[in-house]
Amino acid sequence: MSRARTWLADYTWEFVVAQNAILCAAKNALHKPTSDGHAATRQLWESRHATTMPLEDAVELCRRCHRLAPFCFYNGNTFAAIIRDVMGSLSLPPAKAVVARSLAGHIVAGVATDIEERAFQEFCETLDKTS
Amino acid sequence: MKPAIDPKLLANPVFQRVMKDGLEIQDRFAAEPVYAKTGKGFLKSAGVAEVRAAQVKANRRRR
Repeated sequence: MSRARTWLADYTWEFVVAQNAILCAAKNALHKPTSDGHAATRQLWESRHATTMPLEDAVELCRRCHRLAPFCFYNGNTFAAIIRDVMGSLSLPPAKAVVARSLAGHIVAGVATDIEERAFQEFCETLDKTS
Repeated sequence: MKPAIDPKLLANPVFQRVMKDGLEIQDRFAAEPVYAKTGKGFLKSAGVAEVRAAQVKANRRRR
């Protein structure tokens, strides 16, 4: 299993925006771009999402985009759901899949501890070894 | 703002899968951009039932 792939290629900016629109609609929240974060996030996402990158970089891109807050509401689950989907594409044993998905989700949500970040890094390093 | 979503995107299985998961985890996240404002994200702990459901889901995917 290769660590460097086009992990986020399927998730275009249009995809991201539409996901946020649906999440906002579900909670009757306003789906609106932010004046300070939207343009920068869009530019970052569009310049990177289709490139080949290590899994940890894909997670980091989602985390940065969450933190930049391109939308007024529900940035967190917009980007966390994307990385959780990426993690689901790995053929991992069920118990390991749950842990890896949770670690990636915590990092993107901005709540991962140092231990969790290290554990995820170590997990990523195993990907090349299992190819 | 209520953008029209491309019907092709709505029919895309990857889009549907991400949407389903995003909605399932929605209540664990704050609506407001807390991470941008404070530099610290917010995520409510998953309950035991939620963890169990994730394990069942992972088992199903593997089969």
